[in-house]
Amino acid sequence: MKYLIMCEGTNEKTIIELLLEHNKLAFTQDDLINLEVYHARQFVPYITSEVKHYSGDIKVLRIGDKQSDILKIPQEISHDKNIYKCRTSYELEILLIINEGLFKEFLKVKSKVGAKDFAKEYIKYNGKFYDGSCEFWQNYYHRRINNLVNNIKECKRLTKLKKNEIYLADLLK
Amino acid sequence: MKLLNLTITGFKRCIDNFNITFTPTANKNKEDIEYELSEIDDNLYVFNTIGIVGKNASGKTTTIEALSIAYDILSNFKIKKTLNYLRDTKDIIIKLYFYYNEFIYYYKTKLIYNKNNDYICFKDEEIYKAKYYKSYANDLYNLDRYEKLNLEKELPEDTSIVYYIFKEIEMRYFYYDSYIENTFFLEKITDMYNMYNPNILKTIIELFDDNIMDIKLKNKDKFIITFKNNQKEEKNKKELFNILSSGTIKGLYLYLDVILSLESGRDLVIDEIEIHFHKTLVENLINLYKDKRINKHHATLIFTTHYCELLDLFNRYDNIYITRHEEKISITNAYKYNISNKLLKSKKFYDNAFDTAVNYESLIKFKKELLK
Repeated sequence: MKYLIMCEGTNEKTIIELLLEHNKLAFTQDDLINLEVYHARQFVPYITSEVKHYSGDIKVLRIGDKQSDILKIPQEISHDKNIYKCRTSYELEILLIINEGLFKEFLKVKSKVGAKDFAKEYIKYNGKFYDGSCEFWQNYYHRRINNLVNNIKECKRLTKLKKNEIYLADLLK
Repeated sequence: MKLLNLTITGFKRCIDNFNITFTPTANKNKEDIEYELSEIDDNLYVFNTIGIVGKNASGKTTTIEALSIAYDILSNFKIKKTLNYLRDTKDIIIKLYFYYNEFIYYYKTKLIYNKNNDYICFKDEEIYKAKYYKSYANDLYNLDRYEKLNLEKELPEDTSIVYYIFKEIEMRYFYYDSYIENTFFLEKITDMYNMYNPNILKTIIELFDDNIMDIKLKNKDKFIITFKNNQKEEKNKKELFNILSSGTIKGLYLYLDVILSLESGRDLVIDEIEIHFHKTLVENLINLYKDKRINKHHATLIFTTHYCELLDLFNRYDNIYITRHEEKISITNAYKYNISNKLLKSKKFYDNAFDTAVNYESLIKFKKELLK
């Protein structure tokens, strides 16, 4: 069995790659289709062809906060695929907010300000405000991987899921 | 260096202003930026893969030959490899746009065959240059912004003034030719072995021949082959060439070109990519160019194919070209057909949406003759 990981954005991709690099997930890079974490909301030909080349079972994990669109599985690969949605709850920036101990502050304004904008205003690392870039995530967590793991676990405690969804924390070792 | 656009007039049976471009014309979505396009400068994208399709004798190979002329000029500043195509033709006008060290260059020349010396002369050459800025990305080929270079040519007539840009001869592309000479192949294997991780060679061999576990270079002339049953045999170069199947030799040769292309960012041109290889291997090869972890230096794979299913690997239309031969050979970007995205591209080809299907009546005529 292999995992097909499809991330909604490049930041989700960065987070998954960081966790893989530090061996914090229940699977390794070898368990991934094409050894790759994909940045795609839907199947594109590149991904479909790589899935086709593997004849075993595949668990599809979609990593992202909204996922309002239904994942369309191309006909040629639609046989025997177990599909699990993995939701990262609120916006991904909630992890940064938790890490900075600002979750309560965020709750006070969350009806007006999204997690991303909140993070851009209050979260700073190495003298640089959060700018939504992959580089920021990479710099912020790569030497503090256990913080990332703890933040993901805390996020699970604070959020509720819809049917057929799993927590990012459930992918941890 | 990256070739961006080629226009050729007077070449073989091609229409005037026969044009192929490496830059996108259609909108770019996030997935395309991730898997179909390479960003060579700020907001300047080129295709990772370009597919050329068409019926038999529609001009696919002619397109590859035209591209080879362009690459030949940019590599050798002379017409060497492509000379054979040009001996019987009249004057050819070639116009190129290429990107090099933050500048875009436009080069124009007339190619004239000199019978006495059996070479191609460059006449009426001009080079224009423009510094690339992000804001130019959607209007790359607008010459208003370019500045003409005043070059006093002090070169032989068979040498292009492109020399003044690059200064050094260097193969700036790879052309895969399925006709493989024994010595050339083995030299390439040896070079490969010395230049790269030998494990690469092992993994390529495994793709093509699962009876051979490994090939190791013992010294300049000898290889040690390990077979599946762990039996080891020492072979000289000639023996090695004879022991490998034709498919394995072609596969090794092609994949070595692929590695060199991906490592250096130089484009790879392949005529009839599907020939000799299993479809999965061809798909895998095309995907290597779409994988940015591997294709880090923006190499483009340009291939012709009869196998329309390969185009289902493309998420876009503007990196697919369709050749047609009526009175003259023409080339059309598939994007211009403006057709719905819902069906697979291969299905559209078989439905003759691009007028590329094999003529049914011709097939039946042939069968009738066999039945007589």
